[in-house]
Amino acid sequence: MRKRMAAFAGMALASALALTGCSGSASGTAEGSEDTFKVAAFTAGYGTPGGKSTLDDFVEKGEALGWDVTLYTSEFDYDKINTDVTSAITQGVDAILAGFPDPRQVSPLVNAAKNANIPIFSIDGGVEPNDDFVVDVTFRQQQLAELTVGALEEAMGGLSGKDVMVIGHDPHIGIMTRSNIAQELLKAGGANIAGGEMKQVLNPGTSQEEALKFVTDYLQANPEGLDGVWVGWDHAALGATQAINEAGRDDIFVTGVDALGIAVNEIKKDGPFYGSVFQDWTSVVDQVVGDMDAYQKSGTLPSENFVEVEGTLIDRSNVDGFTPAL
Amino acid sequence: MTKTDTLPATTTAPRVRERASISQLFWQGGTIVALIVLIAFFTAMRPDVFLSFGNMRNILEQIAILTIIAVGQTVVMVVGDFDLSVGTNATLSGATAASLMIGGTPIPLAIVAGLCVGLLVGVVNGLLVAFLQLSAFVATLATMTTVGGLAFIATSGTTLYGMPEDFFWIGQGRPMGIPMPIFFAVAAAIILWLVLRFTTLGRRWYAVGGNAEVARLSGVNVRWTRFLAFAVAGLASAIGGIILVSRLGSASSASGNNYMMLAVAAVFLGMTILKSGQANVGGTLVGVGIIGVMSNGLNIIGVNTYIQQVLTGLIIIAAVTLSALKARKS
Amino acid sequence: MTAVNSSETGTALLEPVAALEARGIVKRFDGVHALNGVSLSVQPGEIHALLGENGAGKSTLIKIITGLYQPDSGQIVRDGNELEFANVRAANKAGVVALYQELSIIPTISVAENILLGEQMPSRGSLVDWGALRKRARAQLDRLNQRIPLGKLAGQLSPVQQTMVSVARALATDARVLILDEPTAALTDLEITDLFAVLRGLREEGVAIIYVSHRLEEVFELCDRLTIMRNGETITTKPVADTTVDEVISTMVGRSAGELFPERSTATDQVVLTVEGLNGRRVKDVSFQAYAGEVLGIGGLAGSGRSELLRLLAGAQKYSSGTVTLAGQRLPHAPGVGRVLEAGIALVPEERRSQGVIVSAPIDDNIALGNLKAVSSLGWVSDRKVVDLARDGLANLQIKARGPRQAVGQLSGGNQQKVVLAKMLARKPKVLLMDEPTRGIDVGTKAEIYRLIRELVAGGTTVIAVSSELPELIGMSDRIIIMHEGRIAGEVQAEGADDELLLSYCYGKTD
Repeated sequence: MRKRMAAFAGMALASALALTGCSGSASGTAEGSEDTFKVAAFTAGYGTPGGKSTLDDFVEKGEALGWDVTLYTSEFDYDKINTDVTSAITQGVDAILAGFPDPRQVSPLVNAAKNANIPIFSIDGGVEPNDDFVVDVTFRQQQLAELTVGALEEAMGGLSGKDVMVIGHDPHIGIMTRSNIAQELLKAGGANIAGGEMKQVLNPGTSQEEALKFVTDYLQANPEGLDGVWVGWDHAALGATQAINEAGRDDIFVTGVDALGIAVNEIKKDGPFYGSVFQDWTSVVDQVVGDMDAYQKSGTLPSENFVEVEGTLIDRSNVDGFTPAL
Repeated sequence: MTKTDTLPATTTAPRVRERASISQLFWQGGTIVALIVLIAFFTAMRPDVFLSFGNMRNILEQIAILTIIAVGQTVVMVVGDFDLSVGTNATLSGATAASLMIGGTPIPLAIVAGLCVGLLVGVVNGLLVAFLQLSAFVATLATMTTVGGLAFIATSGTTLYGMPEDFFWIGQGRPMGIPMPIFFAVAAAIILWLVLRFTTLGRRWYAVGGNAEVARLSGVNVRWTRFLAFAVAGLASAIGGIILVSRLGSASSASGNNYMMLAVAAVFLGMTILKSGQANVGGTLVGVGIIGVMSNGLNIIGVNTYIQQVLTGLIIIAAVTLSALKARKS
Repeated sequence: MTAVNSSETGTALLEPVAALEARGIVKRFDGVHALNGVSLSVQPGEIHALLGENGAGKSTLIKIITGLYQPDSGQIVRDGNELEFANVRAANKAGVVALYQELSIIPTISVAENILLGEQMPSRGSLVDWGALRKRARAQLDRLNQRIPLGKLAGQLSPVQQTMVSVARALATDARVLILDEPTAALTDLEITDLFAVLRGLREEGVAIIYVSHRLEEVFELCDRLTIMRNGETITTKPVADTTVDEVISTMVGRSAGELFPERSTATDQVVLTVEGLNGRRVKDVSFQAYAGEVLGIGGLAGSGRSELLRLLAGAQKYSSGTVTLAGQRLPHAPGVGRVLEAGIALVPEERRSQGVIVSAPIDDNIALGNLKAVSSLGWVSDRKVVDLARDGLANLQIKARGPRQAVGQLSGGNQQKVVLAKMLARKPKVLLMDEPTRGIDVGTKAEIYRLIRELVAGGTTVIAVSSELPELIGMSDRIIIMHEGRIAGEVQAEGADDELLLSYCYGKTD
C-alpha cells in the first residue's frame, strides 16, 4: 500500500518536473506538413527579462507567418541547449534562431547546423562579426557604453577626478564588452575606478542584492570616495541605487542598461538613478524575422552577417514620454 | 570506552555543575575562533570603519534574511535531514506575495498567501520524506527544481515591481534606526531557539535526529515530528523570501536561490560548535556571522568577489578542520 | 580459590613455544591503568578462553595484540620472536587476526571477494583474476566444510555464514592466531554447533584461537584453557577441566557469585494482560495471560517470533488481527508506541545501542525522552524536572556515571541498559516488556538486573521477558512460554523446569 503511494507520488512529482523543465519547448506544433517552414529557436537566457520577451516576440511573429517554431530554453545551461538543438537538427529544421547566444559555447550546435547546411540567424550573438551566423543583429556595445558614460558625466558634472564604481558580470559577453569599454572611457575622462577595479557580480539572478551590498559596504568604508556608479544592467543598478538612497546620499549617481520598467520608475523620481539605455528588441526581432522570411521565400541570405543597431538613452529629459517594453 | 567502563563507583557523587559551562561549550569548536579572528583581522585592517555602529548595522542587516532561512534549515538538520528547496522556496513565496500585491490583493492577504505557499512546499517535503520515506536529498532536490520552475512561472521570468509602498516597511523600515529585517531575524532565532531548547517538540526533534528508532520506541511519533521540521523550514523560507522582496522592492525569478547553499553552510559551521555535532541555533548564528563578516569585511578592504568566494570556502574548511582536530585531541 | 594464583610465569618456560604470548602488558589512558601487567600465553592448536566482566580489559588487550593500540610497556611474542605491531596490517602479516562482534564483512560485495579482500585479491595487472579468485575462495570455504555460494552478496548471508566468511578471510591471510570476540552473539544453537565444529577443525590444524565470550556454557564446551581478567590484570590461567562455572564466576566478579537469581515469591492470580488470537509478522495466533507480580519468560529459537511478539505488544509493530486487553481495558488496534506507553505497557528493546538509547545524548535527555509529559507542562520542558528524573534513575538503579549530563555512549553496556530501564520505569508501567534484558552485560550487572526485575514484580508490575539463554529464562522467570515458528509451543512453570523439555518445545514439539 505504502509502496503504491510512494510510486504514485513519485510519478506526480516526475510529471511536475517534466512540466516545468520543458515549459518553453512546447510552443510550436510538432506535426508540420512537408512544406511548413520549420524553425528551431533557442536561448539560454530565458530567465532574463529581455531574453524571455524577445524570444516570445519572435515565436509569435514567426507563427503569424505560418512557420513551425519550436523554442528551446535553459537557464544558462549550454549543454542542454546544444543537445536539444542538435537533435532538432537531426529531426530536420529549415532554419535556426539563436537568441542571445554566447558564441563561445554553441560550437556543437553550430557544427551540426553547418553539416546539415542549415543557416543560423542570431539576435545579440556577440560583439564582432562571426561566420557561424548568417546574420547577427545586435546593439553596438561601444555606443551603449558611450551613452551611459556620457549620462554619468552629465550627472556628476564632468569625469575628471571623480570616483566611479563599475559593476559588471564577465560571464555575459555583452555586459563584459560594454563594461570594459565604459571603464576605459571613464579612465580616459580622468575618473578614478572606485576600489581600483571593476566589481564582479557572481550570479545574475541575485545581482540586485549583490550590488546593494557592494555599494553599502563601499560607502561605509569610503564615504567620501564615490561620485557615481556605472552598472552594466538595470537589475544590479537598482541595488546600487537602493544603497545610495539608504545611505541618505543625493550626490551619487547611477546608470544602467535595459530601461526596465522598474528602472524607469526610479529615473522618474529624480533620485540617484540617472539614466538607462533602451534597446529596441522589437525592431531587432522584426529585422531578423524579415531576413528569415526572405530566406524562406527565395533562399537569399542577408548581405551582411553582422548588423549593429543603436540604443536610446532614457534619462530625466525624456523619461516621461517613454513606455518601457520590459 | 575502556576508561569509562572502569570508572570507580565514587564518581556517582552528583556534581554541582552538570551543564557544560558557557566557555566550555563555546570553545569546543574552531568556528568561534574563526569568527573572532575574522573580526579582529578586519578591525585591524580598517579600525575606524569595521567596528563602527553603522557597519555593524550593515552586517546585521545583510545577514538578517539568511539568518531566518538558516534557523529554519537548522531544525531540519536537527532531525538529521536537510532541505535543498529553501532557496527556491524563498524565491517562490516572495514572488507569489509580490504578484498578488501588484494585482491589487491587500498587503496582509498577499503576505499570508506567500507564507502559505512556503508552508505548502515544506508540507510537501515533509510528506515525501517523513511519510513516503524518500531520502531527503532526493525529495528536496526534486522540490527545489519544481519550485524553482514555479518561481519562473510566477514572475514570468522577469522582475516584478510596483508593490504598494506600505509593503516596503517590512524590509526597508528603520524604527529606532535599526533595519526591520534585523528584528525579524532576532525574533525567528529566539523563537526557534526556545522551541528547540525548552519544548517537548524540540526534544522530539533532537531525539529523532539522534536516533529515530530509539525515539519511536520511546513513544515519539517520528513521522509527525519529522514532518513538522520540514513545515517549519518551509515557513521560515517564506518569511525570508517575503522580507527579501520587500527589502529589494522587486521580485525576480531567482532572487532567493543563493540562500540554500549559504544556509546549509551556516548550519554546518554551527554544528562544529557542539561536541555532539548536532545542529543548533547558536551555532547557526555563528555560521551566519562568519559568512556575513567575510562578505562585508572583504568588500570593505576591497577584495574582488571571485577571490571572496574562494576565501569563504577556505574559511569554512579551516573552521571545520580546526574543530575536527580539536575533537580528535580531546 | 586463592590457590589458582599459582606461579604461571614459571610454568610458561616449561611449555612448548607459544603461538602468541603477551608479557607484562601495561596500557594507560589519561594516566588511568586500563591494563596493569597483563600476561597471556596461547599454544598452537589450543582454544583459549579470555574471560572477564565488561571493563576488565579484554578488549584493550585484544586491541594491543592486534596492533590497534600500542602498549606503554610489555612485549608481544609470536613463535618465540618479540614483535611490535605498529598497526593492524602488521599484526595480520604476522598471522594474528581478530574477528570482531560487529562482523567485519562488506555486505555489498560477493562472498569470494570478501574472502580474498585486499592484498589477497588475485589479479592480472590491475584486473581482478576472477577464475583464481573463485578457486582460492572455494578452497578456503572447503577447509571449513562450508557450502556458501561464492557469487552471493555477503549481506544476504545468514549471520553464521557471515561469521564463516570472516573466518575464511582470516585463514586466507594465513592466520595462525585467530581471535574471536563474542562470535555466537547473533547465532542460533544449531549454528553455534556448526561454528564449534569449524573451530575444532582449525585446532586440529594447529591454529591458536583466543575465544572471548560471556557465555560460560560455550567456554566449557569448547575451550581447552581459560584466562580470567579483572580490573586490568590477569587473575588466573588454568585448564577448563580443572575448574567450574561457579568458580569462574566468582573469580571474574572477585567475590563469591552466590545465587545469581533472587528468590521467586510474588506471582498472584490477578490477570493484568490478556492476549487473544494475536497475528502479525512472524506471530501466529498467540493467546496468553499475564498476572500481576509475575515474571513471564518467553523463549524460543532466534526467528521464532518471540521478539516480534514483544514488539506487537509494545505497539512498535502493527498486528493484523487479535486483541490485547490491559487491566480490563481493550487496547485500540494499531495504537502506536505512544498510546501503548500511555496505557501502561513499556518495552526495553533488544538492541540497546540502536533501539534503547541515543548514545550521543546525555543520560537525563535519554530518560526524559520517554517521559516528556512528566517533565513538561503545556509543551514546555522543565530542566529541573529532567535532571531530577535522571537523578532518581541514577540513584534507584545504581547507575555508575559521572552525573546526569554524561553521554550514554560513554557508559558500560550494563549501565546503558540501566538507563533504558530508568527511562521506562519512570513511566511506572503496569507491564514491562524486556527483550534480552542482559545481552552483552557482565555477570555482576546481570545479577543486579535480575534483582531489579524481582523488586519490580514485588511492587505488582508484570514483567514479560524474552531470553535466548535457557538458564537465564529458567532462573529469572516464574512461568515460561516457548515459541516455535510464531506459535506458542508450550508453557511450563519455571521452578524446577526441565532443560530438555524446554528445548524440545523450542524445536517444535508440542504437548
